[in-house]
Amino acid sequence: MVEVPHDGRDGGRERPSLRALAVVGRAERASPAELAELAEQIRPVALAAELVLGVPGPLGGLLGGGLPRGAVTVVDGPLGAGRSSLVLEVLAAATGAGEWAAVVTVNPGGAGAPGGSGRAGGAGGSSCALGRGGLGTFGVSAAISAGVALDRLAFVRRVPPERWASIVASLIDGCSVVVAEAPPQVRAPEARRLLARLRERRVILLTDDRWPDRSARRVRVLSGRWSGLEAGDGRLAERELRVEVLARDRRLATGTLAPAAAAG
Amino acid sequence: MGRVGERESREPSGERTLAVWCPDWPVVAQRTAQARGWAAPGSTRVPPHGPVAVLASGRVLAASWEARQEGVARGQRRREAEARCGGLVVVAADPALEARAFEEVARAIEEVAPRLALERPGVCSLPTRGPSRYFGGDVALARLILDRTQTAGAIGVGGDARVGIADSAFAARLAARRAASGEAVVLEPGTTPAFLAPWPVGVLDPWLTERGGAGSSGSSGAREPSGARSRRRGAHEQPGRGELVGLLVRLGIRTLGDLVALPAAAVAVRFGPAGLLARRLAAGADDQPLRLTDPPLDLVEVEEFDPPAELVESVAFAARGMAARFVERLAAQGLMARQVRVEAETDLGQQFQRLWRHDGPLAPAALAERVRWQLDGWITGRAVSLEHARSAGTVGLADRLDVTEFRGGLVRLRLVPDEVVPLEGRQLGFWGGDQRAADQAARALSRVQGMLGHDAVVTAVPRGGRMPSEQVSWVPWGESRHLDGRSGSSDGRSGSSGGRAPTPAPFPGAVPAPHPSLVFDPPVPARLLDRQGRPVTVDARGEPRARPASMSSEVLPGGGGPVEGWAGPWVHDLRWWDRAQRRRGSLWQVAVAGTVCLVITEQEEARIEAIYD
Repeated sequence: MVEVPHDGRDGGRERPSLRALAVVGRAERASPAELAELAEQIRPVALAAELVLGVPGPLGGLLGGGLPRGAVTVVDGPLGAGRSSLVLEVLAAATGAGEWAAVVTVNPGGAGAPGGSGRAGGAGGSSCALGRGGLGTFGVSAAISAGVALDRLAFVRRVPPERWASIVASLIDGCSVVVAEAPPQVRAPEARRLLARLRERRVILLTDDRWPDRSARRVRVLSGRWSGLEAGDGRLAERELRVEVLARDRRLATGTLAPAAAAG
Repeated sequence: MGRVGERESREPSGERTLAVWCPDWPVVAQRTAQARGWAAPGSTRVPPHGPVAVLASGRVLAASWEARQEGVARGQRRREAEARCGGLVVVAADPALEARAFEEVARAIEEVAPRLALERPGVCSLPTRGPSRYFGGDVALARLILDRTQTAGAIGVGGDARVGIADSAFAARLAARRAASGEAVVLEPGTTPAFLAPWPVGVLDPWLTERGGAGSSGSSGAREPSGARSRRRGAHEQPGRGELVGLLVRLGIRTLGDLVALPAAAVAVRFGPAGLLARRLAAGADDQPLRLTDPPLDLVEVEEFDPPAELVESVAFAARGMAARFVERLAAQGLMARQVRVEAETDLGQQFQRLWRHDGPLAPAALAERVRWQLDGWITGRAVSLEHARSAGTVGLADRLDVTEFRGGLVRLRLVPDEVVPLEGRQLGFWGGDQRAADQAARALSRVQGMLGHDAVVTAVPRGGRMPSEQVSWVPWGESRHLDGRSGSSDGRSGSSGGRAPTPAPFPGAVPAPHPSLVFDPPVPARLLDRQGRPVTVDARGEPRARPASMSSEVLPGGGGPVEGWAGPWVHDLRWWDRAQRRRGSLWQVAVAGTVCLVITEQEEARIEAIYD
């Protein structure tokens, strides 16, 4: 995959190569940030790491190495099967590599979604990537054991459904992974606009199956089986996850994640 | 999450500050040099009386009283000053000389009160708590310090000292400015905010500007070139420290009182960390909470000199490298030093130390400059004072010099961070990763904060707790992730470890790993029933009265179902010391409807705390 950058990506009027000369000419005064910005503009090819977020371990293997940047990935499956753990693994991969991530939860009391209905939707068992309409959130201890760098992870809470799209769009400008629980209704034009923005910024959006675009890549947790819990004794030990990866309703891969990888 | 509010109303720590200000110190220092014969032969003669102006980079930095009467003011160009005042003697500023002259004053004050910290030649401050109690109150202490400085070295030549005491260092400086010559202004505890309110916001400027290396005393110093940042800055971006005051004035916020009247959250969103710092200063709160831990030893920067260094220049050269390494190493830990101790040791075993203080970030070059001033005060000051004392035949002074003066060569120089504070506003992985990514994230998150409110965007800081929902503090984005030692975890130390996730200390009674990844806050009500359909309860010995057979809750897939496996109960006595409030909760791990839940029961009620999702 080779991508030739077009000149003046951020609306600059100068050609990058000319600016390069200008900056190199006063190299002793150029700040590292300036140089890094320039390097990106004049580099002939995009590196693999810029097109795919590498995810280590068995999950990464199942995903074919990682998650594609600039695309939406829908995480779904029944509650309690292991969606949160999968999302945490992706967040750990991103924040561990020095990138920034944001988690968006929707205000359940917002317009069109009274508190009760959010929960009732949960009874159906397959709605949000995390929590039930803002009721739940990631366990911090679980996040730490998954390897998430909490100082590069922001939580945006109680987003009113009608402002969801604009908030997510703002976050796409700053973070390289956005995990957003979708509001009950995401309109198709909004989704298209977000997708265009994602592509431009090469940002990953993880969301749930309320995302209207059916062609999005999909990671579905089929089941998660914990072991170690008996009737009255024993304690939770490890878990086996069955996960399938689909694109346009075509199955790309199905696999079982080893217990060690799915601890969480 | 009332954290914003809590932070805002930070209690005054009871630590008060005394500031000593000697106005027009550059002029006084020049006159002292003249009187002592320090001045190089052939340099401009500075008369002990009459109009004198000291210039730094072509502008008037300080002027004598006589010159001020004629209309010479700070910031004027040389020609303008000369035009206003006939017979004006103009000399170039010499910070090293100023530091050398101020060293005598510092020593006089140090005899009364320890922990004296110099800000620049002419200004120093000290915490009053100990000395005030010893000498019988703030007023008595101020009196005593004024008496001492009256006769001390350079001030006797024609300078004067003014003292201010207030609840914060910033207010103390302003109080000293309000004082008349040789007088003190002592603000009663608690009156500091009212004292500060009418001052114009312009007084904040030197406190917000980063001290660059080029600044001589009193000037606000050169700022880091910020071309890349300012070019990318949009219309709604947060101003840098240097631009803040001008922006405030343009927005009609003219006094410190106006600034304090704005809500802290709004200031943080619009003006960023610099705005918060300004607001805290204006409110009379100390600009950072005092952290009472000793900084780790490996942050100390030591340089040995072999053979012993006799000349200031050679040491000053080494000091540049030391200062750069010192600042960088602190920054790597997400810290900056607010107060630095300069320690020197001579080959005769003498030890000297002096505190230098600066509120706000101190550039390495500025730190190196202060070290150089200090060395000048010790080494060069010694040589010429001895000569002067001998030639003047003042035996008493010579005796004192023998005890306290620097002798021999310098063998060791140490820079010790005396007071360390987190690097404000930039803690979030700023030093761990790519600065550009951090800047972008900062802009995006502030914008979202502007749209949804200050505490809608939070970061998670781990802390100690039994329940998963208790193991986190939500800190609004942009506020310090360090919890001022409030948390029970070890975060105060480990949080500063760059990009790595801090590991909370083991908490007694916490649920062991694996940790649930989906936490409900508040917990969701559920019903945990036995075979007969009665709620499962726990007896006095912590044993279950019946085995759980089914569980239902609206969050569970299908509303719940039969229990497939369970473990527990683990009994927790909560608030057992409080008869009215004590509760007994039992924790269970219950597998039901394809999930494993962490359930807490109290009497007959059950709640789902978290799901092992």
